[in-house]
Amino acid sequence: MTRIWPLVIRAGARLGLLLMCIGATGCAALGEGDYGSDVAVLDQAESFNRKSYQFTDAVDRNLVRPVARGYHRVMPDWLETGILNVFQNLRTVPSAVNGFLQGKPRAGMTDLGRLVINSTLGIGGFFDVAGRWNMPYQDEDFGQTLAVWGYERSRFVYVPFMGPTTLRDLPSLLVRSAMPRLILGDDYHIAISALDLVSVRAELLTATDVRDVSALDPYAFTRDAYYQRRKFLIHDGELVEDEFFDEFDDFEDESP
Amino acid sequence: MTRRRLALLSCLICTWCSPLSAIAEEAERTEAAKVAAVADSEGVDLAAQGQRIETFHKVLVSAMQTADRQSRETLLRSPVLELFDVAGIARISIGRTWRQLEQTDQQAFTRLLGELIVATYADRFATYNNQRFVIDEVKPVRSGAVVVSRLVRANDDDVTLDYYLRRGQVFNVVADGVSDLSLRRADYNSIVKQEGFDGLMAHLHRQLATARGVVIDPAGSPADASAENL
Repeated sequence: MTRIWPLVIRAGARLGLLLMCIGATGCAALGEGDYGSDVAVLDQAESFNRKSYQFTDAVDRNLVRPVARGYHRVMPDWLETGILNVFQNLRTVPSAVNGFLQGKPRAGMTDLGRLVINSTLGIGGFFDVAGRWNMPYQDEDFGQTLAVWGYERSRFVYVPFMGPTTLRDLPSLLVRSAMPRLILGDDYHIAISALDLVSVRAELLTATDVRDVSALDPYAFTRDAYYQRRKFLIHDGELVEDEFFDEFDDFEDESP
Repeated sequence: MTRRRLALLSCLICTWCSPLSAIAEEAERTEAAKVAAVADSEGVDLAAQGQRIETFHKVLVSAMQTADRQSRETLLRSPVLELFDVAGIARISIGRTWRQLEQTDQQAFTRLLGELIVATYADRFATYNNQRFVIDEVKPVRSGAVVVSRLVRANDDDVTLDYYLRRGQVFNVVADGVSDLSLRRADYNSIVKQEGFDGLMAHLHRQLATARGVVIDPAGSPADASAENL
């Protein structure tokens, strides 16, 4: 019992430090300026991003993806899902914080409820008991919080090894991979981080397979898919009015 | 000032007390029904739009139960080409370039795109594993409608599928928030910018040939590429 308090204090201190870091990077990124209103995708460093994409894709093809495919083939489905659940359970902490930061107490409470239920009844998050009780994972992060606060459009960056992001989402992407480690400290073995990476990559196999057959320019495809996915998460899956209606109208205005 | 505070307070109470929020949701629903009624009076028959998608979903299920690729394409061809506004998709997906094309090129591109959409459906809905489709709602959007539906899979999360219709035809499918038309436009425009319209046509011809020749991802388990995991 006595051993738990230093752990809690350490975790608290780390969390504080983390929040400060997030705040600092967030504010630095806010001074991005305006690009006009008709640009859907802001890619001002396209030649760097393309090279970064090709490099990362080569690493993925030759190392990460084969490992993820092997993992997917060897692991029974229930175990694969369970492992994903454990890592998602750890990320419920930042998700809850960001739910509250976005002024959505209900989302924040849902995540907190999930954390409590799944950590106990769900045995360390392995079973998603709360999900079955109609408390789905809210999937919030600091990038979405910044978007809700008004920082909606941001420059695209393809980070070597890590993948697509924007300046706005970069801090939460960096923190995401380090998150459990920052809270749990050195007890969190590096091999567990590797398992985290592989399990997430295995989950994305279908998506990248679809990309490989349908994309003519995989880089442009990935960039657009990323922007869309973020928009979807920022709006919590609510339908955003479809912009294509305007384009149909434009066409019809022109034709006699 | 006080009114605003009162409104804020009542909002908070609504979010916290479930019976109250249920009432709010009910009010929202009746509001939605009213909007639907208005759209109906403007000539968009929402029930008919839902019906069209439901019929299409039935075709997809029987496609999944058809083992042979060739027969799947035959089964899907006319339903896909009737439901989808291929000409509209073609126009939007290459934007400015479309206006500069000769009519014969426009027609060739539209025809090829139609075949590609058929082939894509034949590829993605290839195995049956007790998947089923559920239509959740049909909503009026601008001059058309959106049919909100779900693909329910046995051992996996649902995929939400939003069909955007205009004049009774689908011009966009949004799967879990990712818009097919937007992806197509980003992809095709990027190729046109680098290799011109002829380059795009060459790529599409190759893609169609590949789709007809081999199933997605020969290296992985075939299930990875099929509707089982879609």
